[in-house]
This record gives sequence, structure tokens and C-alpha cells, in this order.
Amino acid sequence: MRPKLSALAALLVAALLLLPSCIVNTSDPSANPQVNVTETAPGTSASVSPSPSASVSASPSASPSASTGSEGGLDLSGIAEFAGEPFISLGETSALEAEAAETLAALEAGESISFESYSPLDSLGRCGVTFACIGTDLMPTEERGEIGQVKPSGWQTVRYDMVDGKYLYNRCHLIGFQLTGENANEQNLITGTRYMNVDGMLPFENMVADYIKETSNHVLYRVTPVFDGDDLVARGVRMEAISVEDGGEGILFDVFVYNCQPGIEIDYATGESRLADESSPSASPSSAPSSPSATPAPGVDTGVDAGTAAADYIVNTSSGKFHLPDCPSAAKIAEDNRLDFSGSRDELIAQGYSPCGNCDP
Amino acid sequence: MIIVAATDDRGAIAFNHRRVSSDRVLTAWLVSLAQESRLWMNEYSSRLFEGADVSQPHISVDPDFPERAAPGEFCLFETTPPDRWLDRAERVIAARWNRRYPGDLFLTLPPDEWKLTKRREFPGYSHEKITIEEYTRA
Repeated sequence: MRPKLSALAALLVAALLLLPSCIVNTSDPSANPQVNVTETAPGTSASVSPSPSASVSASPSASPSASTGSEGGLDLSGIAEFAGEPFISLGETSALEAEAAETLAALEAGESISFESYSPLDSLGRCGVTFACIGTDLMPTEERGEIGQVKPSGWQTVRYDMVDGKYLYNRCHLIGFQLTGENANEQNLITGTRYMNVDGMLPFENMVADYIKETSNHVLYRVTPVFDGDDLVARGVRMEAISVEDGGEGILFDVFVYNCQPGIEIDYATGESRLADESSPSASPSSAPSSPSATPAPGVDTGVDAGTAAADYIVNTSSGKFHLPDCPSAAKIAEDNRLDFSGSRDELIAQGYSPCGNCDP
Repeated sequence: MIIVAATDDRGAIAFNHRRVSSDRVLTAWLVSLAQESRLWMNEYSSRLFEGADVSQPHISVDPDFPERAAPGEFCLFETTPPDRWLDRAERVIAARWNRRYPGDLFLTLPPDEWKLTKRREFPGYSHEKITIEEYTRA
């Protein structure tokens, strides 16, 4: 038996239009379009197709300190405004405890328990709940590939000098690449601020990944983007996890991570943004000059719009340099380190690569 | 008392009453520490050593372990706030995970008016690099 999966009924809420930076506070809940959660075979990270057998009923329990919807959904009216910390705890217990017990029983019965599931995009092109039972068998064994071809709902390419890495938005993996190796899956990528990605989500992903590597145990892990009404950009994500074999002694959390960027106001309906202390937009999609300074932190999900300046490059994944196809250095790259890339220069730089000093691509 | 704690890049040692991370190599190092002098801890921490080769009975478990520790004895802080014991400590040993984790319990590093006196690194089992830092009063 596999642990039950969730049919997403993420509870969403009504209208706050352009919010002050990092403020999330809404009311008037409305239901998100129902989506069916689908599942991939254990040990795979392939694209997901609908699987009627994976749709099940909602979990009965909810976190105590916030009004929670079923299956990872969340009523934003119960979430405090951003107060300078990238996340808030929704409680010291987990709505996944019962499923963890079921999963452990299945494991003890000799069943394979690893799985990963991703919701189909809704009618607005938005991601839904993602859920996995992560073991070492799901973790990536290869380097990350390109994700620039995916444009999550509300995607904008905007740069601010005050943002680490310059780019306001990253293509944020809901279930981090280091956990399941799921890369350019549009059902697993949302438009998320650099702050949410690096300061909010990454520490939890690190904690889970290192726990699994250390113990070879499994972790039930659910990440749900929380949208307000028809917004295209999520107000945040709910991250829940519980370790299976030790009943949560190693890993247990239920948190809401704010999709905000201090100092920047975001229109969550569209993804447009501006400096918090200015009334006019300070940046526009793809209009900002390129910069060589956008180096991602290890493990960070980044990615920027390829824009109109798409071209072919040869990347040396070992040296971190990229070259023009006719650069003599490109011809010397070992096959294992060579990556043929089509896209923009900015995109390569944003992913941590630097231009060759000879061919100056 | 010698404060011993394993921290992330910001000094986080625990989140939601759980250590932020563990590594069998560091656990073995802690066992070796207990060969030098008694190593105090609470019941939660003692479970970290289940199955470990603790050939010397120098590990002591007590809920009030900071109160019980004598000068020169080690105290492993995982879910007990360490900062309030700095006044009594002779040394602070911080094992750095060189990773960023969430935290709601922290060790302030470096402590005010303390200085870094020793530093060494070794690879962990599940961590690329673990750094041991030792602080003494300036």
C-alpha cells in the first residue's frame, strides 16, 4: 500500500490587490479549482500524467495555530503578516502524522513507499499541491539541467540591485531538486522571490535532504502553494514534513513561507513589482542590462527568462565557463563536462556560469 | 563547563525541539570527546548515541545537566538554550554544519568578548564539511 495522496482542495482567499512589501493578510476564502493529484512510479522523476487511483480523501487533522484547509491548503486569513522572518510555524505537530504511521506500516509489510506526486496546473496555469515520500532512491544522481524554458504563472524577469543575485524571481521548485531530482517540471515550479527561495525554503530542504542522507530513512513531504483568489503569484507556500521510520523524531515541521522580498512590493495578481518606497515601476521584464554578478547559492533554484536574446552556447560544467560555439576552448571540453545550451546570456549568468574571457560570449 | 553545540551558519542548533542535523562522524567525534572528560547531555541527546561505541562510561544524562557539570566537563546542548550558560563556561566548542537550516534555538557565535582559538575541519558522512571551532574568553 502506498500512502494516500491528496486531492487538492487548496482553500484560497479573496482580494488583496497590490500589497505592501511582504504583507500577507486576506479574508473571504474561496475554493481553488479542484485538481487531481497524480503520482509517479517510485524511483522516477518523470513527468506526471493523470492517475485516477491516486486521488483520495482529505486528511482529517489540521495545524492548531492557523486555520488550515485540507491536504496542505491554508486559509490566509489565519496567517500573520510578514514580520521580518521568512517563515512562521503553523504548529509543533503535523497533519501528516497519521499518514506517516500508515506509511511505516506499509514499509514494515515490505512495500515500497517512495513516491512523488504533482498536481496538474489549474485553469490559470498555477501549480497545486506537491507530495512525496522521499527516500534515497528518489534523490538526484545527476546534475541539474536547464529550467529556463518553464514559465510559471505570474513569471516576470525583473532585476533589483537590492536583491541577492539581482533577480527578484526565481523559478522555485516546490519539492526541491536536491530531494527528488525533479527539475523542469512545470507542475513543480512556481514564481517565487529570491528571499522565499533562499531564506525561506532552502533551509528546510537542506534539513530534510541531510536527514535522509544520514539515516536512509524516508520523509513524507508536502509543499502547497497558497494563492489568493485568481492571483497568478502565490502568497507563500506551506511546507510540511515528517520522518517516517522514527515517527517524526528526526523531522517534523509545518510552516508557512512568505513569498515576499523585503523592500519590494509585489502585485500578486500579475507578478508585477516595484520598490516599496517608490510609486513607479523600477524595472520591467527583460529590459534590464545583463550582469555578471548573479551567482546562485549552492542548491538554490534560479532561472531567468531567456528573453529575446536567445543564442547557442557551449557550457563547461566543470569550469563554470560558457563559450561561443566556435570558441577554440569549447572544442577542448571533455564530453562529460560539455553542455550545449540554447538561451540567453543572462540566463547562463544567473545560473552561476561566467563568460569565457577569450571569446567573450 | 565546556559548552558543545552543533550549529548551522547562523548558529541554529534546533528547530521545533529537534536538532537541525546530525552526522555519524560528528557523533563519533563527540564520543571521542567523552574520553577526555565527562560529557553531559539530556535524554533527547542520549538517543543520538544509541548504537555508538561508548566504551568509556563518560556520558552522563540528566535533565539539569548544565547545573551538574563540573569545571572541565563537556555539556552537549541540543534542545537546551546554551547562551544563558556562557557566564559559567570556560570554553565553547561549536561544530559547524556549513549549511543553512531553519532554527528557533540558537547559540550566539562568537559570544561577546570571546575569541576563536582553534579551528579544524573534517568531512562528515552526510555533510561535505564539518568545522570545529573553539572559543575562549578574550
